[in-house]
Amino acid sequence: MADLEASTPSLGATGGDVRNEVKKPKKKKVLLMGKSGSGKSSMRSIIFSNYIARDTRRLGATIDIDLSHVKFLGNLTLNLWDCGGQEAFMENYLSQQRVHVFSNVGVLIYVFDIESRDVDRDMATYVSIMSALTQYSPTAKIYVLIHKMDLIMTQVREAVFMDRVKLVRQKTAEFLQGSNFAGGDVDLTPFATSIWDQSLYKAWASIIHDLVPNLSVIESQLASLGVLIEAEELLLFERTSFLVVSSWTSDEGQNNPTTDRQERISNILKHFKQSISRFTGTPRNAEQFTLMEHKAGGRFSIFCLKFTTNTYLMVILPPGEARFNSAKLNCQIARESFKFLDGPISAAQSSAA
Amino acid sequence: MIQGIFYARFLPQEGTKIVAQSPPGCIVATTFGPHLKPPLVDFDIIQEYIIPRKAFFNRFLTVNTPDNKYSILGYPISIPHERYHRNEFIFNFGLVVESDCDFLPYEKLVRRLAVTFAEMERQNGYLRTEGKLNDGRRPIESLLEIVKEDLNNYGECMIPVDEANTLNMKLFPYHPPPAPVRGWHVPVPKMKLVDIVDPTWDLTLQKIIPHVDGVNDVRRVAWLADVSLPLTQTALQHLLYYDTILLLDMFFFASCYAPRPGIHDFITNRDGLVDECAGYVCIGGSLPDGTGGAAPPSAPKTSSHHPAAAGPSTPQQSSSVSTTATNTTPRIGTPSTTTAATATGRVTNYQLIKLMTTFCVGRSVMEWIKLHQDAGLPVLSLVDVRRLVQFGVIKGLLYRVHKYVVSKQYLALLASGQAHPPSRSSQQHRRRQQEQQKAQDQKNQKEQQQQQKGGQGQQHKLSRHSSRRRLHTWDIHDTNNSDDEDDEGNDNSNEETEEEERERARLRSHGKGYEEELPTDDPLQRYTDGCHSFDQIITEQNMADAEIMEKLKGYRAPAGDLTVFYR
Repeated sequence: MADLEASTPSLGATGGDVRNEVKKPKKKKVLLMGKSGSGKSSMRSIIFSNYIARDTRRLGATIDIDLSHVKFLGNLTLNLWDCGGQEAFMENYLSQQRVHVFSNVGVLIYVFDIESRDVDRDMATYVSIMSALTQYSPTAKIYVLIHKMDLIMTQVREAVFMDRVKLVRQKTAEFLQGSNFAGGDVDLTPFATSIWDQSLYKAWASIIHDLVPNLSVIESQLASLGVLIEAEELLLFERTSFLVVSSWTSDEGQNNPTTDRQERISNILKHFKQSISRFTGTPRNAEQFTLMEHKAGGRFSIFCLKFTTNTYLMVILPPGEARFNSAKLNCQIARESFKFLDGPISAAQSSAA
Repeated sequence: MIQGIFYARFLPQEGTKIVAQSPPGCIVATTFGPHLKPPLVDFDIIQEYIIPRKAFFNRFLTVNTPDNKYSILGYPISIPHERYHRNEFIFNFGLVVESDCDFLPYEKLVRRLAVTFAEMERQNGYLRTEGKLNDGRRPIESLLEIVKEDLNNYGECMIPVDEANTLNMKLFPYHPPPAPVRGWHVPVPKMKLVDIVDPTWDLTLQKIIPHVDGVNDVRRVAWLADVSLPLTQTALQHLLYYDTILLLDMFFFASCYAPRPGIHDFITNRDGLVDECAGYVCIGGSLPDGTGGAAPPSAPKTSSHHPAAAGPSTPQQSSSVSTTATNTTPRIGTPSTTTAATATGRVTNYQLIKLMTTFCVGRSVMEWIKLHQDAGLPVLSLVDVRRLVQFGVIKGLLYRVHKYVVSKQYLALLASGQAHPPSRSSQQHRRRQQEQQKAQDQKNQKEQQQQQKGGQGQQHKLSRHSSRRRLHTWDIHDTNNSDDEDDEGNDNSNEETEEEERERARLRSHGKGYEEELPTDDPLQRYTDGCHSFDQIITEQNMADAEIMEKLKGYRAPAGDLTVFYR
């Protein structure tokens, strides 16, 4: 609770206070915004609360802002603001709570409902959100999720998505020109998502990927581990969300024709966890398994083990019993050099040096 | 006073919305109709409390406006069900009231509104279909208007909502639970209860009210009305709850009073306090000279002149007092039967202040009268002393200095657990005693005491009956025994007879006797722990102050054991 309060600027703060606020070391916010019923809370529940897609039918409307602090890899805490999208709330964010909501934002995730009938209105809201954001947090990264893509027929999906992204980009550009935004171009990353397939994991994994601070260290260490154990592919998952934090692929592994395999595996593992929880009666957030292995005969072997406190490691190996067993042991030994994943950032830097 | 009433809903698209309000424009400005006043509250600021977050659903909620002028009382309700879009129906019926008023009566209303409409929504979707069906029902807006008007004007409402449901609501005043009424309190009516009582009232109240005259103590009221003491106490507690009586101490000429800081107001005659006092206490020479001669007995004779003595706390009430000198203007031409220094019959303010300020610790009322009579002021013929004291106590000018008695010996026994304080469990004492060496001796001694105490009680009762001079309050006390713990010892001994029997047998086998060191034959001992005022002893034992002192002096106790103190 203490750091929640510390990271929340006072309601009454005016524009003049913003500079003071920025000075204090505060966790950057992740704002989740968009029209009511566009699926913000649903995706949050799936990613961070171990919901599966059909559970989200039970969710009610979000009232005002749902603040949550999502612990991620021990040292990364996401200060996630799930903002209710009702018109009354939107007006409130833009007027009464403007400073409170839009200052100190690290990431804005703006969700568009592809099904929405009143696109113009959506765009108008989006532009006013953008104006508030560029005013108080000009450095924030922006992700645009075009959501509920499963409702669009497969063959036209790509076209519809591109169309909508074009519109968003155009509106953003128009706004920036009109407002003479000093920061130049706004970094905007679009994703087509749906809670019913792995596209959601892809988008979120990429968002999280951008947020992990000591990613290069993780990547280099992971690469050296991969080479040592002769693996084809290594995937490092975050424990609760089962999002891919980092991955390494051997030259041989690059030839794998399935490009969306990471998100698929995320999705599958999540369901796997869900099933275990159902059959064992353990809570959904509990550790469901410590080791899972699968040997597909002469094609490949795979195992997924609990790695550090906050991560799971999945290793894909060429076939071979000896290689498989030694890799398992080696991964357990390698835990020591990945301990920094659970610790504070300073520890990570010292281990990198 | 309800300033506004509203019905808010959470709509899945629009968010929090005021669907109905009365008067129009009290929460949000309306698009039609004239705007006489701006809204009472800033809806933008307050809306997050009208439909709050989930954690506050189904709870009573109060919010003050930023300027602290108004408070919004609400009870947001969420009805989760799959049939609703977004799985929930969220609404709130709220009131806007001044923030300095008592919320408690309104809280009941808000809860009632919430519960009634939630149930109607659950059963047949009353709120869901509101404004969509045209079945001739009253729109919520006008319903709220009637509720507000009726409650503001009549304090209650009875409004049919549909053929099956009616909104019955009433604003009940809330008072904190009254203090316990003790036998030695004197109830003083704040209004003429005799005039407003009617045959529909509680029977006990009807019986006791004629005797509540500001002079009789509770026990006497009970005896005079022929009602048991606990019933009298309960009845008086009801009167106390509605703030219609005051509880004072008993008036004795032997008791002491001392000034409180409030006396300054009296000296400076703030708000005409002294004049009010004069109106209440001056006799104006209507009493014969004779009364001034000797101090009256503990029940003052003067009381017979004021059958409906009323407390002087409000002007209206003091005017209702049927004394001979109700008006504060000096009387001219009253027969000067007294040797007063004043010719008018109204004591001068200077004299009243002097009278009031000469009370002090260690000077009984009797001595106080003597002091003034020696100084040439015939107090008794000028003022009603009892009323003067009563006025002082009610107005916070004086306080009663209570008299207590402490016996070192008894306290020592209590501390060591040998004596038997009525309120504590004897089991614990027993256990502690068993650890001690002389446990048996003391045990036996205590039993002896208890037995004798019981016997004494019986004796006492008989002697009371033979005595004509006293009230039969002892009788009442002994049979009902509600407010004190007198008989607890006996109860315990009944429960533990077996155990005692065994112990006694053991003692007999030991062949030990006991020495009588204590004055065990005395019902006053349990009052000597310094926690019981003489008023209590007087009422419960039906003895006069002097009698008690006499009895206490008769103890076979070491010199200096008993101390009487005043506080």
